[in-house]
Amino acid sequence: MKMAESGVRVLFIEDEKKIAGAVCGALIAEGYSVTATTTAEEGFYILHNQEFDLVLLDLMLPIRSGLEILKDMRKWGLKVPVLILTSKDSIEDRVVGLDAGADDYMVKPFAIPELLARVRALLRRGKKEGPNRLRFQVCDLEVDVSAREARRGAQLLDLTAKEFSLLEYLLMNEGRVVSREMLARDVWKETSRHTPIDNVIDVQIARLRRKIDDPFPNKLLHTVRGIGFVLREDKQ
Amino acid sequence: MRPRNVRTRLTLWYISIFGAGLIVYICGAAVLQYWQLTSQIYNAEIQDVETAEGLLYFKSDGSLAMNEEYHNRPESLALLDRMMEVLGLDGAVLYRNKRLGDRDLGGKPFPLEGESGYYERSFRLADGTRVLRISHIHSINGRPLLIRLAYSTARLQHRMVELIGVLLLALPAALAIAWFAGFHVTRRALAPLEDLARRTEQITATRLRDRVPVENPDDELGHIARVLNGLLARLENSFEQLRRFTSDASHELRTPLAALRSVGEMGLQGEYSAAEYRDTIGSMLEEVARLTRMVESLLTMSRADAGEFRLQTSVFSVMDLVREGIALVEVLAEEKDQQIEVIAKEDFAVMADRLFLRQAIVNVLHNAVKYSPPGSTVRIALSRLPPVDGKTWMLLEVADEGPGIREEDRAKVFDRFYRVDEGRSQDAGGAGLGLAIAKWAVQANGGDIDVRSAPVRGASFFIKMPSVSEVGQRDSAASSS
Repeated sequence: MKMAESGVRVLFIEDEKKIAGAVCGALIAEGYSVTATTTAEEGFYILHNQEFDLVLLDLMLPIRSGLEILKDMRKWGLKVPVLILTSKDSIEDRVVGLDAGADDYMVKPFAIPELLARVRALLRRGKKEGPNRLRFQVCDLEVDVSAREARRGAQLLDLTAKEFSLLEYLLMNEGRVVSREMLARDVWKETSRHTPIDNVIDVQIARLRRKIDDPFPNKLLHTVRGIGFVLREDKQ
Repeated sequence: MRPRNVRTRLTLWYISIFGAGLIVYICGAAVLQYWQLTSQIYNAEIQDVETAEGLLYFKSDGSLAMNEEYHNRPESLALLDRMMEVLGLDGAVLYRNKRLGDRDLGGKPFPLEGESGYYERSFRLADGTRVLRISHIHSINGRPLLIRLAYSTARLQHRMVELIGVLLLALPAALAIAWFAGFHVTRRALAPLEDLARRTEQITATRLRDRVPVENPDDELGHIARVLNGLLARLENSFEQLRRFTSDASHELRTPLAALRSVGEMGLQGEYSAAEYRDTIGSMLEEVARLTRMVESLLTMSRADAGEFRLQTSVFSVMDLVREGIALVEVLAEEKDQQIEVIAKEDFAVMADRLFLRQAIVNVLHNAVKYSPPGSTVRIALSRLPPVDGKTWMLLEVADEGPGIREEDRAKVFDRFYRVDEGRSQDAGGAGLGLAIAKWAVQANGGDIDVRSAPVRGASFFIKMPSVSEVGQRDSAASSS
């Protein structure tokens, strides 16, 4: 994993200690420096004294709700991106949160890889977007996105369109675990979570693995049980 | 201000109608009385004119006089009240009696006055006295004279005032009696209603099985009681559904929780390698994912029940939706070496919430793929139903070659948490909510869903939707593997 070298500062306001601990651990492992607090007041105070690149905000906080803090922050002109974490997930709740000035919204329970992906997206926002990568190489897997060609070593892989976009997404997140939620949303563009999408994803991953991994000795596509999938070169 | 209770309102209505009736009666009586009295006065006047004519004579100096002493009853009303003047046809006043004095009874005669019989007229004297006047032309000594005779209406007015006064005096008493009667009648009429209210009040959420007694099913109160009982039955039904749903839901949630707990406990009981611990944690996360999905589905259902979803309707092609659904579940079918076959002669446009309808179709398709054996074919047919009320209906049939559904289970297929085979619940995936959601989604969009099944040969799910217009003819069949 990457070490703390990015210099990205994240403020995490969350009163539920287990979640706070787990998410902090994941963020620190990603290389962010994290300040955590359990009350809105304290968070607000810290925000006034330090600069942050991102705020993760729980909405259901004791005494003052996260929503009030968010409104205050925006009133004071703090432009730091805010990602709301909450267990309320009706459309109205989302709209209220986004209207109050939030940049993104995550419903508990969320998957950590998903949270990290959203955090990366928010941090990227506003910065100059690098050109989309057109070529990927992991170990002996080479993918040319513009030509829609994938090969391992000398062997050309025969992939369907869906398999190719799945592979492309995994490559963009190389080394990071992607959850089924992320795949459903970003590769299948499936907004509803009640469709049999998880089965479809599993089958599609199995097929991709058959084509890119099965014939070769070193495996690249790994299942992280209970979380999702990761494409990386395993160092033996 | 509006009176608070029905009883007061009814009583008020009652006495105002009663009072209005009385007033109409009083007015009618007064008018009749007035008409009778005036005609009596005119008749008396006519007689009086005839008498007076006989008493008039020309004196030697040519002036007209009247033999007033003739009357044997000088105190008679007629005499005391009589006002009389005699005019020549040229308008010259020939005689005025004492009662009239120097007032005139209408000045010069106007054309035709009194020429044919007796001319009746109400008239106001110069001093304001209203009189009823009779004019008559009579010849004395060959000379035609216009005789005018009038009685004051003062006496008449007095009698009218008296009459109306007496009637009005009785009015408050009558109204008071009406109030009293009305109050008691309405109280008696409303008593069963209050009884009904009291009994209904005693029926609480825990005692929904109770019903309100229906004493006479044909009268209005019986009707209310029956309506109330119907409401109670529906309430009891939904409470029962809610109760069952809650207990089903907690049961369903308990299974992954139990797995979570035992896997976790097992992991802590021995010394394991890092890889084994990873496996344990992964297994726990799988259960968490299952729980999450279930809670999400439950939330969806409860929102649907509460009517919290606002449908975002648009017009779209059903065939497109079917194709999208197939594209999604295609891989699952391929894994089992199943064919998906589509037969559609024409496409239909429907107006519905696209996402929800898509969900329904995908769930039904997934169901078919899931329960069909490997190597079988899932058949999708889109066809036209006979129009109802001028509306075109389309029918989407999804037929599988699975084990089918027993007749007694047919109605339950769309129930929440229902699975044909309890044992296969975990490996076949899903919380048993897919078809329940499909049913809700189709019905919310104005359509209906049903299932028919032949044992062994598989089940057919039918989704019918009203169509807004045909999209056009399609080539006979499309097929996909």
